[in-house]
Amino acid sequence: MKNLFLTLDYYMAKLCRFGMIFLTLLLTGMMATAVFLRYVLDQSLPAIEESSILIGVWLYFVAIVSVTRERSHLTGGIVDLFNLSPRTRRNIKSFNDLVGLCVVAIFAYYAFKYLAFTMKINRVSTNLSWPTALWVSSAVFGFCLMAIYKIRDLFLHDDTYTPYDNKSPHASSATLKETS
Amino acid sequence: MLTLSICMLLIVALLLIGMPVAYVFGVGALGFVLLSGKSMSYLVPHAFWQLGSFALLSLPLFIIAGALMGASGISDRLVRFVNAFVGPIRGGLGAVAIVTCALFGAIAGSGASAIAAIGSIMIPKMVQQGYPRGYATALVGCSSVLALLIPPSVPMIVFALSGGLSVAAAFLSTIVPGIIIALIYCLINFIYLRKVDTVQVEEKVSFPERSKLIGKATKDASWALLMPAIMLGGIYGGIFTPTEAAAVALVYTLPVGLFIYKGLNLKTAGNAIVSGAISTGSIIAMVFFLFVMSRGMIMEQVPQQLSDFLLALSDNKIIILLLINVILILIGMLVDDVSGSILASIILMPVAINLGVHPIHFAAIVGTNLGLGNITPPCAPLLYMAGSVGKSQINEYLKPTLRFILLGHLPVVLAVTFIPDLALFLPRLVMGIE
Repeated sequence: MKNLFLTLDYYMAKLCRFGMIFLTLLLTGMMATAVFLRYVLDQSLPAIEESSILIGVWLYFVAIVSVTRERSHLTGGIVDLFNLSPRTRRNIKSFNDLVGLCVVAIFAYYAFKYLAFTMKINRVSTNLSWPTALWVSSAVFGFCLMAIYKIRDLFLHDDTYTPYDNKSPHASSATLKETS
Repeated sequence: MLTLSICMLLIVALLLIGMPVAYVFGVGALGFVLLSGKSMSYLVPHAFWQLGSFALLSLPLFIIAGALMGASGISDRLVRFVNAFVGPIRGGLGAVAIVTCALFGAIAGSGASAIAAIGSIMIPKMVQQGYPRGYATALVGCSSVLALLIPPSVPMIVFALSGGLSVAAAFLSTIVPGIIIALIYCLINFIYLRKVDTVQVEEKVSFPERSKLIGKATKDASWALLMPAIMLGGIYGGIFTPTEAAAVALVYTLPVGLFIYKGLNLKTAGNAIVSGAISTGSIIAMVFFLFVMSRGMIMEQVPQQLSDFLLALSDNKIIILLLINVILILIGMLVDDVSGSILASIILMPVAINLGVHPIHFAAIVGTNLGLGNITPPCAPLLYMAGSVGKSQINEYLKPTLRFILLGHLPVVLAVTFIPDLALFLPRLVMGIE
């Protein structure tokens, strides 16, 4: 079971990585083209706002999934300042993971409910006339995968998977990433 | 007021035990919804479409452009550039660290990345030249805040969007305070290091040699320095929106990193994009939950209640502004600058506007205060990160940090609060805001 999860996780990570690079380049390319068309050819790119927002929200939620996968969420707090036993630290982490899972699951439910609603009334975007579900499904995708990774966190207590610098201002993460 | 108190206590407690800030705001949002009896069915779509704002797209693009520039090896070039000007002065290397953090902020816009990129180069260099390790760490930690004040600043983007303000005007509001803080830090650095005997000074070279050195360093760093010039020039020249400027910056960065600085190849460029996207993800997760929570707070009239509460404490504007400063510093100590700036725009902006404070002036108050909170112990996330990078213990860098805070940052916070022109001068000059 664990091996299956790790295999799926491996491919999901690859997919998210590809997704983030592809969506970033697509978004950048579209914006740059819009600027070029406006100033050089004196034309506008139709529905640039709608399409760039579609790419943007997918980029956000794919990135949020990666953040959850790598446990790179920004944290505050003073726990790191105290010399707590590993057991206490693990208990605090488990509590945080459980609460996180509940929050994500509730939001996933409401995102799904909203997606079902937009599909039911067949709502479409103003300029492109594309189904609004294309935008909203990014949130469902994001929250569902976040929930899966939060379930993983309840059972696995390893640190991050990848050496990417997450730019977290959290001191312990910074040390970890700096030395990797 | 009871709803507010319960939710706030819950939020603070969860933040203190180190729960990710995004989930804490998620709990806060659920708390407000449950206690007020409102429906989540309305709040989730509302927050989703707030996230789907065109202006917010500047956030990932600025962050990813900064990550690409950082990965292409600009840190060394920026250090050499500033060092060419002030290197042979006693304490010059400290000034190099301060100015480079500010310049790096103009490119990457993040205090944490300034510490990682500049601190890892400058702290060992300063220690090698006889600077006390704790002092070098404190200097970089405190200077990293400049990255939040010099545009493009990520907290200012988020603050402006959640407060319905112009992003360009919010960017301008923190420039003057940022420059003043940098100058005061340089002054403190020069004065303090006069008494430190261990500090070595670079050998002086003749004027023609120095000019040659400056010319070479400027040429090397020019591509990196051009990036903020293009972005900010484009925004304030009315050529691009901030979102388009961010995209242009990204388009500019790729060939510079790949073919001119040659610090990037396809793999490292991909890694930098992913790293930037992940940084964006951690911010966006927080922003989404905060949008839900803020809507719940507005429906519960929390900003109005807080405003009434503060105004009931005193009718003296100075006292209320001081109280707002204290609250902002506490927020900055507990959470990162981005979530702090959204909280400030939702909870405290109505109070400030009731007091007659201009919203753009308030943006500068928020920026400087949250920066101070981020380096004020006991929480001080940026300071501890500098400690980690500088391999220094808190007892070594606490005293010099307090010196920079009390003599440098705090007076500027008070000046920005009570002298609106410090924040409004540039927005009025460049954008003609009233």
